[in-house]
Amino acid sequence: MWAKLRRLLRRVSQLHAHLNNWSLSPDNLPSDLDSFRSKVPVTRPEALQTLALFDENPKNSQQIVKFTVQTEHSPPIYLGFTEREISIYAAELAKYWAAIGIKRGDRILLYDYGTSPLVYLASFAFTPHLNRGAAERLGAVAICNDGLPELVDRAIHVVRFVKPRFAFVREEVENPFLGRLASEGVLPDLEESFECVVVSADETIFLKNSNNLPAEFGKLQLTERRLLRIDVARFFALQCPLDSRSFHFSPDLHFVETVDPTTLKPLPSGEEGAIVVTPIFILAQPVLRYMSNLIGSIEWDCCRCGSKQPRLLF
Amino acid sequence: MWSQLKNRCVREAEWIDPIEVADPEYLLRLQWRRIKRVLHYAYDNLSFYRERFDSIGLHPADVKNLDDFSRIPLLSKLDLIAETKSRQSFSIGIEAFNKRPPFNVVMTSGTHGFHTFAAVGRAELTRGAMRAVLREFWMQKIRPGMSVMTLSPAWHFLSLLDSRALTAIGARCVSPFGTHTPRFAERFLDAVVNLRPEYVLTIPPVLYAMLSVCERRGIEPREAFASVRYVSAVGEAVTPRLRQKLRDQLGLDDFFERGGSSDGLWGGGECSRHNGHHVFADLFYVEIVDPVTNQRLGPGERGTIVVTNLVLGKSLYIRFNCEDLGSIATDVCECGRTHPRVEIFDRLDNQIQVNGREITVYDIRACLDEIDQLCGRSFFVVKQRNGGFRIDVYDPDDTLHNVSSEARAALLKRFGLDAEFRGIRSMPARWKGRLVDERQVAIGEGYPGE
Repeated sequence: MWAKLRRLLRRVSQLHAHLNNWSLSPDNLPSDLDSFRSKVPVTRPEALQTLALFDENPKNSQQIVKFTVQTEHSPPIYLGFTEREISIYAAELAKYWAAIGIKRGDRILLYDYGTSPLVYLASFAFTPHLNRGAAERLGAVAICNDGLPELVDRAIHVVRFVKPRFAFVREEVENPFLGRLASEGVLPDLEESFECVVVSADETIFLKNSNNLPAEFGKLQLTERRLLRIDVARFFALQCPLDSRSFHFSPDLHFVETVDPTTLKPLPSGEEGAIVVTPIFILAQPVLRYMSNLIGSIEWDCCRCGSKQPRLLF
Repeated sequence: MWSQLKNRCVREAEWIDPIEVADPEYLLRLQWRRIKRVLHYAYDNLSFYRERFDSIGLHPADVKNLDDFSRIPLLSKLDLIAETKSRQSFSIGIEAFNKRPPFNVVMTSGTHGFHTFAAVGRAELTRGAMRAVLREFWMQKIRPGMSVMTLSPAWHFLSLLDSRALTAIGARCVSPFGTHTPRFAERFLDAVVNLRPEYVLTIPPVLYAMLSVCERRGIEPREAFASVRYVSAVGEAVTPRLRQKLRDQLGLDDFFERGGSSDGLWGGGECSRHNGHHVFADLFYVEIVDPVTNQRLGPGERGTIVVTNLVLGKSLYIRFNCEDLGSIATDVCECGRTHPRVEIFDRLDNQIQVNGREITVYDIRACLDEIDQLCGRSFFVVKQRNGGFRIDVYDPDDTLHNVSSEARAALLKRFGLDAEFRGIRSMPARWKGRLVDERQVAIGEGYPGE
């Protein structure tokens, strides 16, 4: 991890030396992980808002697609990607889709806005300059319904006629969607097909688990999973199937740590604090030590579900 | 061949696909060849069309020319709805994929209270109708490296084509959070101000909502849109007067329109001459027919738009009645393009009859836009119980009374329509530019939450 992080820091110091947010210069780089955690201050959303105008930097002209972070920030935060970065990000989403069980030929309903990472990483059809989305990587078909709560009828319409095996829904529409699904007569036809609802939100933890699904689902064995996102850090974590408080994440592309939310001092592994994430694959608009508003701890031991991936524990 | 053209597109600032300026006679021959291929493919491979053709005793071999083709019964949205309900599936036997699974499924806008589906193959997004959008974007001045703000409702067919065409051109894209409803106008305007795109792809209601945000924030639209050189708006006809007003108000080099329909998977855009939407004849065959008799109408005559897709690899629509009112022009455009141009006026159900003459809400809009104080002002037409009509105009400042008699006289003179005007302080977004029944207005349907 340190080798990857060092490469990122070197690039950042070369590309963005004019930005003093992180006080980095090529001659003044941290020498190891500990010094990285102590030398580089955490980044809060306010700092990123000033970085939003990255286009001032002519070296950043390779940023070819920009999205706005969904969480309400004023002024808004914009995320810029190069073609390579958005491709890596989509591959990361595909890993989580595969972990949920999505495979070739599956149809997936996306009940979210076209500008949510759930959707814009899903298919090359949805996003300019994305050559292979998560759906193409797995051979699945992604169908988007937009994220407005009043479009719940149309989402049910898709369930009824397209018969997806999975539905990814934004948190805001979870209740209307599940409520309508339970009350609609669509369910008897779906026993063979519809399998799982994945609810997702940016920097929000909601520990309700599948036991809370409406009883009216009857014979339909519908499971519910949560996909945590930290959009600013281009990060995903998937709820463990056996422990609703655990969220597995892939450590390949992010350095994840915790800090004391008050003093901002780095905490040892396993101690509860604010979750801080550094995406190591983002160079065009790098984010170093992004401090999310999530409080939890990081567990590295093997999970009882069998996964060897580390997990965030809330 | 296509990749060579694409490379040229990126290199040459004034690139034009050679087929755009092909001899009209050649285009007609090309269309006829493709129509025959589509008919044979549909009969041999697509269960929906085979049953349909068999039921009327038609074999593709019987269709010997375009006149024969124009006698094939129109396919309506209601036919598609009935088939979707009967099969309980999005797949209704019109998907021309050579038995491969679809690459994507998109929904239509839900007229008749039911969303039909259209399946799209990968080739459609890389070679098929994507070519039409690529030509359209180029025609409308999108260039490599240009920063383009695009609102991407990924459920809509056009958005998929836009994404791929912007990629092919090499434009840089800005996609603010939200979707195509005025409620996100604040964020869209923020993105215009902060990220300074040169080009904005949008729909008119969202653009008008952004202008309202400018007004609320006390910013001059010209200042907020300082970086924007072009706007291209899709989904609603904009009158010439309103286009000019928007150009002036936003300080644009040009304002373009695009149009078409996700039912039928077709579309076209205006060139800088604003003479109608160029519909690429190698990809679509468009006819205008009489809404009552279904007889084909000539250039310049107003009727229902009927479309046939000429390439496979997607849901195939043959003589699909789009339920839009339009007219076609077949002469060569001043820009040099030889493909037909279609002017789209309004939805078929958005017109009224006055003294035996059909008038669309767009016609009323065009008439009212001639009056400065009413140009671009939102309104809807109320069909009253007594058979008359009233125009409800958005009037937050109570200024309508200054011009209502002038507006009434203009409508009377132009169409023989004697309509009362009423100013209102709020208006449901979905009623804007629509014909609404008085009973809906009386119960205030549509107002809460808008």
